[in-house]
Amino acid sequence: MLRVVLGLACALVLAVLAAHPAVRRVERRLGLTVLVSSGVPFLVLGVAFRLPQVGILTDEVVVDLRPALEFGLGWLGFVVGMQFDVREMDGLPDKTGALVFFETGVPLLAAAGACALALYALGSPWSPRDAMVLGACAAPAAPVAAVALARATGSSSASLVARVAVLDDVAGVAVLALVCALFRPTDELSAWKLPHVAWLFVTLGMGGVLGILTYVLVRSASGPAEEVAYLIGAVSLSAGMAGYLGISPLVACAIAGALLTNLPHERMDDLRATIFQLERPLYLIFLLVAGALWDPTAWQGWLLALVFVVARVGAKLVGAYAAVRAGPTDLPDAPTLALALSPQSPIAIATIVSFSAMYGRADQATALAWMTTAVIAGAVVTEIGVQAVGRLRGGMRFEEAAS
Amino acid sequence: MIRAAFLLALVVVLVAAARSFLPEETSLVGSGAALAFGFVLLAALQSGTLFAGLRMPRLTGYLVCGFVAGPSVTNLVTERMLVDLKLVNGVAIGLIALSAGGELSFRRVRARLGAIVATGGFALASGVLFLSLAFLAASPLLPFMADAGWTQRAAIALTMGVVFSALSPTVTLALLTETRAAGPISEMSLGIVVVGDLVIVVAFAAVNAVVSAAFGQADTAGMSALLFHVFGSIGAGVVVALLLLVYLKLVHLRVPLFVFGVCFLCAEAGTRLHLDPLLVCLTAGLFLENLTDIEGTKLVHEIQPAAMPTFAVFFAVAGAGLHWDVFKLVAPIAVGMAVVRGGALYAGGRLGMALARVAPAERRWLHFALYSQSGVAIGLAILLKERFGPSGWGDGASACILGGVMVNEMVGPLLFKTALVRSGEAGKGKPGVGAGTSADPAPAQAVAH
Repeated sequence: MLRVVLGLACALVLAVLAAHPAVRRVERRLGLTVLVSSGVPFLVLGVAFRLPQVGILTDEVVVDLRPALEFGLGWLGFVVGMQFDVREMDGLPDKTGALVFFETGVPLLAAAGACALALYALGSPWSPRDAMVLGACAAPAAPVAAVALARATGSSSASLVARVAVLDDVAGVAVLALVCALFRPTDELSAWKLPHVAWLFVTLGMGGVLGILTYVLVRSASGPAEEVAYLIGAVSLSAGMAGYLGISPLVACAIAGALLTNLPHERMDDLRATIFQLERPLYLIFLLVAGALWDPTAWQGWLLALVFVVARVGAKLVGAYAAVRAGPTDLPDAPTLALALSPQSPIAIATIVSFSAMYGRADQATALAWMTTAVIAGAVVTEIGVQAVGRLRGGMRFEEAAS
Repeated sequence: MIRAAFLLALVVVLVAAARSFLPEETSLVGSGAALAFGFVLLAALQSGTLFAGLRMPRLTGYLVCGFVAGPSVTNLVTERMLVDLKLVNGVAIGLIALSAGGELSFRRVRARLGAIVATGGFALASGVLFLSLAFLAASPLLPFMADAGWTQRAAIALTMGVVFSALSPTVTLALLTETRAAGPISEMSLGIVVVGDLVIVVAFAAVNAVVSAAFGQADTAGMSALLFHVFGSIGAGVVVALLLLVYLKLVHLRVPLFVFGVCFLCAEAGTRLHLDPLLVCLTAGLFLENLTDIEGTKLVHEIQPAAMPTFAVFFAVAGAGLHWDVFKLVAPIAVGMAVVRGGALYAGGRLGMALARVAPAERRWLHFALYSQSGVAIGLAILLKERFGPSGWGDGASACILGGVMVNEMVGPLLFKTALVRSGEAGKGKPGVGAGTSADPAPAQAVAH
């Protein structure tokens, strides 16, 4: 028992240290995502802690941490939603739609198709639901290098790429919303019998109401402390309600966050800062739990990861060439664009974990374990590959393209 | 107030709608707890605002909100959700206890230490004595004591007297924080309840030995477990204090988050190692404030943003845990014993204050800090049930005490808030700084010297 406490204490100290600004500075300099810079150790820790020989994240502890997982998913949902500022989107150049289609839609469709075939070939029953979710995980990109460049140099092409990445996350979450509506996880238990399309309305309506509730709450706060209290309550309520209704907390909270960020509030920047400040430690703890729920032992999962990565990165490259031709004029060259948009966003792992939490029944555990391996391993492999290629090419060439 | 009422209604409607989706008996592990936590936090905060508008303590609003939403009334928060919230509650207890310990500087209250010891000592002694006698006198009427011999009845009565005399650092700190009270009554009341509850916990271990002997149980294993529970918790508190000390000295980054994590660990360790998170964190706070150069008050200031949600969740969950069906069965005896307790604490407290020559103006209001009850009494009542349920009297005694706690939990905060307001100490504290700390450093130093 002492082992459990000490193990969790170590994880806590590591999470706090990994959230240190110095770590973030190193990440920005090297152009790494949080997953590769500090997330992988947490994933590995989660897997190791779950081993019966180690026995730190036992069934009991994992059950205790489940509310934290739901809360973490809700918080990440708010992070996604709060980046979706319509006013900023209004400033996007012409033909951005084409760029989004080629850089988000094409990888989504390619990964979904290739993974569906691979899953079928590996002996899993044909499932459009699983294919759609893998597609949703393929869409979100984390253009850390572009974000860093946009911040440092004000490069317009890097800035455009960074803003497109926000739409990538939104696309991934939208597909997950569709999955939750079309393939209901708890309908056999539920007292509500609604057609699938009605679930889309329920999802949107619930997210909207929760967004308005959060807005009224934070506006009524008498100070920052009360504001944070309301925010925590609103995220938890949203995540819990979504989970109860068989909707991903990521989706409901993203809608609520998007609504919240687009409503007028004089302290909105501070609110965003609060939400983004807690994102990292929560994400690291989230990865620890995700690691505990992940079973990487099946070889099929690694094979699926290979298919996922090849389909996704290949589609990003093809999409980049098409986007450079059909998209806005101030884009970087196609290989740079593909490289910038290849690293997976943290939202991809959150998506697959949320999906596993909702649909993880015993008869579906095998395929879910493979899919989780595909997304997690895919994210790590992609980023390592992108870093290697980027360094061989001498970095991202945003400035050259911009000039 | 209208906005608070509207928000409360909206939150209730949302949760009722969500709960209607699945059958009553179905519970989702993660989502249920998240939903309950979010609901309890938001609804309690709005209820607190409504009660504050009625010039009542926010804390009473939290309790009433929890009680109405809990299994006894509307069942919006089910029994299963309450079990799932146990860990959250453990974290809240840890944060409150750490704050209470961190606020209590023996250096600052040195001049009043005599008054604290005398008031608390006489009040508790009087409480234990009169309550034990009252339980003994009522024993023929109490089904769980009626069949026992007089020696055994005396032992049971003594145990119940000790448990029912417990005070409440959580309520005291919550009200001091809420009213931003500062001054001699605030300082002394916090000192009395913190030290008093430490004494009660140790006394509980001692009377357990008496009861075991009275029932002819040579329960050495049980006794050692209890001693480990008490002294192990104190030892663990020192370790936690050292951990916090190292962190604050070397890292000092995202302190609230780190403290929150430490309290989570204490709650987890409490469940698994049979330690008491309240004692662990209370010791840690006291150690940091009094034995290191880290000022506990500063630590409390850093975690101040967490205070309001912590109190709201803790007291709302406590309210939800109040069982009306149990209370109905023991209501007459619970109310009667609450009255005896109040009278005994008042008499003992007044005697102690007179002996310690507490100023008359302070004497008039200080005893109101003694009447509230919550966490420790509930925890000890549950321990009674676990340890002596098999002996045939633990369940009844526990129900009886919990019924009395329900009365004290509702009435005590109202009285103490009134006392803080009437004594003029409410509103004198520095905004954002923990309870009992004066807005102006001079009076605090004057007290110390």
